[in-house]
Amino acid sequence: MVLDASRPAAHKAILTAELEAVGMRLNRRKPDIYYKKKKAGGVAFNATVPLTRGLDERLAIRILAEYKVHNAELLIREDCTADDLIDVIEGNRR
Amino acid sequence: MSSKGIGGRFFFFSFFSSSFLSASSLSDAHPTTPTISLSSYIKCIYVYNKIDVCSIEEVDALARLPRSIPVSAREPGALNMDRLLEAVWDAMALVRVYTKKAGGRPDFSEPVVLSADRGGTKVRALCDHVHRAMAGDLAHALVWGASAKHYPQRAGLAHGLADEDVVQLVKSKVATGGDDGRGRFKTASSKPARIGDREKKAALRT
Repeated sequence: MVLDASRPAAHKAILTAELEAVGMRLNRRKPDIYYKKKKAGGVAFNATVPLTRGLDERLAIRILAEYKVHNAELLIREDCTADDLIDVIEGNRR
Repeated sequence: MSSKGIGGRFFFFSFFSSSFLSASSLSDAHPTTPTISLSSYIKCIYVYNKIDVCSIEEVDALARLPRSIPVSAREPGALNMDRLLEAVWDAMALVRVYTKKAGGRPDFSEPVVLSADRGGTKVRALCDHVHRAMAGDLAHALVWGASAKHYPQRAGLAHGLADEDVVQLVKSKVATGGDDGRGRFKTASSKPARIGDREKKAALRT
């Protein structure tokens, strides 16, 4: 990203937020979430680490229901946010 | 949200022909949500240009930010471009591996380029680069370079390679019985090493 040193430092945050909005995640890796759709059985939600950033089982189920997924397996291996989960559900389509 | 706005939006996402039915009135606030997600994970370095108009304190503060390079690209007397180049190479974290045939010299003209984002930097990734079935046939790899404890080091598929390593891949010579078409041909000769030791066949009677 090319920035102008003589302009305010907020430009970096603005550009990062704009890229984020179209799905470009800068200097981050894919969230470590295992997600698999199932035929039946409801949502199996498991987390291997304590989730401190607002994501919990109820919210995850609500998000999956938005995508019309009612049966799925979800294993969360790192402390991630709801946005990270949405990225994983939508997949990495370029 | 006008139809032109939607058309432009779809053009941006490389959707050139599609039908778009709006059930309710849409606003521009969430234009990307109904179309597609393009989440991609990209490395980024922040290049601060025009440092020639800033004070040295400001430039110093910028240079201390993570992943940030202050430069001046103005043509006569461009500043810090060599460090930018260095930072780009560092961020890409490419691992160049030179291959070597048994008994030969390493081929320094054409490295195999591995990176953590594209398949990893382990010996397994190098094998996959050479041939799809190579990882299965590998006995061990001989490694010279920064990742080796001693030269050469015998390493397995899980050995992580470093930049500018030299690797010789050694295949295992296991006959599979010929069921799958492999192992029908000998890979090593059983003939004596010296020609003089060979048994001479009788001349053909013609």
